[in-house]
Amino acid sequence: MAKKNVRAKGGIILPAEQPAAAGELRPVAWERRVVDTATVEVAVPEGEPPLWDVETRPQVVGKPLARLDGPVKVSGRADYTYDQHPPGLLYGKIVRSAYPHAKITRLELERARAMPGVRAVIRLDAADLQHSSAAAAAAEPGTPAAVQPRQAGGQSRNPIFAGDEIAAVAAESEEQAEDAARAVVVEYDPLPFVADIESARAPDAPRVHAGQPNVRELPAAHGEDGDRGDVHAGLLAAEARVEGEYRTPVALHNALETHGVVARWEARDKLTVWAATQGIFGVRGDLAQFFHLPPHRVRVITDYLGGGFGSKFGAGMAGIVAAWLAREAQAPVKLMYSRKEENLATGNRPSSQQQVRLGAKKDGTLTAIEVISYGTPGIGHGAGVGGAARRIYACANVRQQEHDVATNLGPAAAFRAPGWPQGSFALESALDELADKLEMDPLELRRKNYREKPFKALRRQYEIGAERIGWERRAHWQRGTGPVRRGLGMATACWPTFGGPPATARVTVQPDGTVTLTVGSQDLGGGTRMIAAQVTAEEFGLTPYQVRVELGDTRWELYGPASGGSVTVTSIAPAIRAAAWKAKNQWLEALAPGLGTTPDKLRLAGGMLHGAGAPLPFARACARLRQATISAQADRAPNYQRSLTEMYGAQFAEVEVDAETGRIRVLKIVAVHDCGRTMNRLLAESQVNGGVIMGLSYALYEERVVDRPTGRVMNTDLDFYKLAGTREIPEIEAILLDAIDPRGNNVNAKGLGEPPIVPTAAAIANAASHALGLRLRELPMTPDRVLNALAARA
Amino acid sequence: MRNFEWLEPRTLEEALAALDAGAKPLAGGVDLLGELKDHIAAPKRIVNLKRVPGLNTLRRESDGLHLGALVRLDEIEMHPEIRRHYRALAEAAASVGTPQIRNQGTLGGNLCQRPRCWYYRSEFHHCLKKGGGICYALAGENKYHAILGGGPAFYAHPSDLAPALIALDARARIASLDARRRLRRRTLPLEEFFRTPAQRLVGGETLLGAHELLVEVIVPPAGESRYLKFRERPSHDWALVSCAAHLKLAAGRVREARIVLGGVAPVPWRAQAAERTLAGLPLEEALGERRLKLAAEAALAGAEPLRQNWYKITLAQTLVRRAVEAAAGREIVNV
Repeated sequence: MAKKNVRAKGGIILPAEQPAAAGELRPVAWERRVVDTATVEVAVPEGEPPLWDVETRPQVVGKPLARLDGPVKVSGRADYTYDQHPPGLLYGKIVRSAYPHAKITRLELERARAMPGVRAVIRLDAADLQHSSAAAAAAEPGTPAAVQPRQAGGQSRNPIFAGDEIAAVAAESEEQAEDAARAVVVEYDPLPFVADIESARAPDAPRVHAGQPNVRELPAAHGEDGDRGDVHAGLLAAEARVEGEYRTPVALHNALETHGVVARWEARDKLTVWAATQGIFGVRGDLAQFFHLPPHRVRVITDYLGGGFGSKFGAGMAGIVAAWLAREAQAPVKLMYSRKEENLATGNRPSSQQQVRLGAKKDGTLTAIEVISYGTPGIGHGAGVGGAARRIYACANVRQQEHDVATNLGPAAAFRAPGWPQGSFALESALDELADKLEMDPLELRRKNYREKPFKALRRQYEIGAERIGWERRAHWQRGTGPVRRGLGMATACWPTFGGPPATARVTVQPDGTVTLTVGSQDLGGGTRMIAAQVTAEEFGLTPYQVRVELGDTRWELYGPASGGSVTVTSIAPAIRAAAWKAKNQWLEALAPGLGTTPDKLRLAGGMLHGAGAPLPFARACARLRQATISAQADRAPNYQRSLTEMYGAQFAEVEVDAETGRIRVLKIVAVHDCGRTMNRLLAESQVNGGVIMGLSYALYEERVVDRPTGRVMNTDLDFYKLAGTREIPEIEAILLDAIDPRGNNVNAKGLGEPPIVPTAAAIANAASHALGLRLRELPMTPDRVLNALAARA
Repeated sequence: MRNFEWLEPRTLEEALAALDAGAKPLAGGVDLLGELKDHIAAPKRIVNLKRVPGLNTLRRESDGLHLGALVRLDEIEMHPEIRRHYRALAEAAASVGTPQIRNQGTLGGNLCQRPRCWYYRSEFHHCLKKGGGICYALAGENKYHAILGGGPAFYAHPSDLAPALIALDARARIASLDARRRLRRRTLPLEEFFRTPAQRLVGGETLLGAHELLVEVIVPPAGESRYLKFRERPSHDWALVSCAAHLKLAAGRVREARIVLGGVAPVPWRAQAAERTLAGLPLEEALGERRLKLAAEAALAGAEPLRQNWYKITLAQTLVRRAVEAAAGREIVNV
């Protein structure tokens, strides 16, 4: 592809105005201050729209505008997968294993088949049906599931976790389906199993996957963002060393909408599904492969999604089973999981036990970082602890050795910043322990080991966050007298930038003035629709509310990536801008002769066409083209320069701890982040708030509890599995900087989905440990753990 | 869910006549529906009590406040007289679940609700409480379980209203039919209404027989009372530990103290040893640091924690101290 070199200015845009307090009206325009600029040469591929840089002031992009789908969502008019009711709909239900490991000695379907309303009963115990959620966990962030379950073979498969799929039914009502599922007779011969890391690591432990060891060392990463130097030498050279073990629990996604699909066969070889998914193309691929169909014979629709957080890539068991039942019954089938099924079988964030060793010089310069981790992904994969130890701080000697420990429990799946919150908690806690030992301010220690990268905003984020939380108070801190102690803590956020091609967008301008943007993405819930509309509106000088957005449907054959790994906006927004820019140019070319001018004289702004006499309203200008429809399609260009910096951020927490009850109460969190150019300040702040809340819940409340003697999960409902509620949410100050790196893409976008959850638990743990004057090394920091830690010290 | 017969009696006699071992009475339904959906109860008949007249009234009489068993928790929480004169009760009602649950849940349902032990609530654990042979909590996940009064089962009593009402010296009125199907009522201290697992293992945690109903709770005039509830997750949770304290003060002395703990035992746990350490003392002395510490230790004397719930001793001691101080009108650190 031909490229031309363009000079562009990158830099950091600081928000001069602090975010409005709750209840205040937000300013629509804001003053900004540009700092840390540098001019770079960027090789821009032919066909790309003019480059945006730090001086660019978009009119629509970046503004804190209310999301397009707000009214339909809050009024209940948005149709989610569960709301689909095609005529003749049946309801599916899965029969699940009661044992963590067993041989099925009898599986008897006839009684269920004879129940009222039952239209199909199928076996799911075929040997080569694999767990697609396990496959999804193994896939790289942002890619569709790589492996899918295949058609049933002959041999029966032993269930390997309590909740494993054995059979499924479809009936005319949900109640009938549940009754029929309970009428399926399953007799088991229980087999030995492992339900925790310790027993799974024992030399004579029962194997979770036949023929494979339970413990698997994950492949090491090398190079500047991987293992480097010599950790032993680094520790020897250290003047201060700390060492500790940190533990994190298995956490469950608990998206408000559970997993599920409505499947309808239009013909013997044509399938339509409405899916609760983060990746419509992944679902299409899985179903096409399973049912041996060409992909274009499968249509996947996701109009609205009630969250996924990484657990909803691919068709999953729900999708395969729904379509399979629908084929058997020759009628559409809805299969939505219950909360209990959701929490048993659709994914989780693996646990971790991390041995951390740090070494440093007296001045705080890190000489060694070593992390050795074990975590359980159940029967799935992916219990690594992310890149915090390798990527965030400058250190010449780094080693991270990670292990998956298989157990007879539900499979892990990608979960918002897979591995990173675990790794961040261990690393950032250890750094605070090191700071204590060095008698150094924890923030100063982090600044001392700053890793320089171009257009990186972290130094500014530290400054702003420290100012907003009042970090200077820490120097002469009063913990408090009486039972309630106060503390301050902080930690650094980081997440690699993954977005890129392929992604395709199309913009169509109708004679009636309707501008339609079509993109093969889906709105995970973060506001993709709105950002798509803003980028389109920017080129046409319209408001985003004048743009019609089509997404969440494979039938347009415009590919978009799965919404995961913080790639959505980074991948699709540049394609949308390129398509909108092309469509606008075509439209202007078509219009100019009739106006007696040339396209370069024309300009679109404020809903008007300027440059040919009196300003002409956009719709009237469209009408001049009579029946001509203008349409342009564009692909996401490769990133202009291959390596981009990560997204960074810093979070600061102030907490109080009641030493007589063990209660940790978070008073305030300041979260300073960047996502390249902020596409919509309101949505971006929501994304940060959501990440912080999820991180707080992980820090203080959430933990999947397994009864080891029976291998069963005890807290699959939202009564026993505790998610933070409204009273637990402190004041959160979300601050977005714009870190503009023009070498990335035509809208300077990076992602924001994952970074805000990365440091929250660590920042809270550091604050609570500061308050108590002792170190809390295990999440969640529930009252019993706090009281036990205090008792151990006394 | 198993199909069941649905009855809507219009009189108390009809309701009682419809009750037997295979039947369950339904008030707010908060707990019963959960049991049905979790497949741990499968009654043949459900007897809806909401059309029985007189069960949802709240009235003052000479011997105190009469609360019908079907009075809703939100009514108790909001009632001006209860808030003024029976603060512990209002606080206990306000601490239950969420507003939606309190708008639906009833006094009787709260007192008769089944344990929140996760083994009891699990369809797959056939435990002692469901006629099985083992209390899984003993060797299992017992962070939320009992430290006092346990054995052979170790669940913790979940009611918030029970500790408050027992501290307020409430009495329970029970209705039944005699052999000639005539209505009989008897009244007993609410404290005696509850049964330990050693006394009763299956079918309930009260002395109610299958043919009986709790119809009313009577609260006599009270002194100063408070209810403190410590929740792991403040927004919406069961008590890890709760404590109701009720002080009757006269001439600067503690004439009588009643202290009842929730969340620590299979029944609401009256801490009489703690009460005795405070009774008769001048208020200033009762509230002294040393005396409060003695009371707190006395309340937990004999505690036998399981592997994961030692912390409940510290927590309960804290709550006893703070509840007594709060009842005496002192500013305390909120729990």
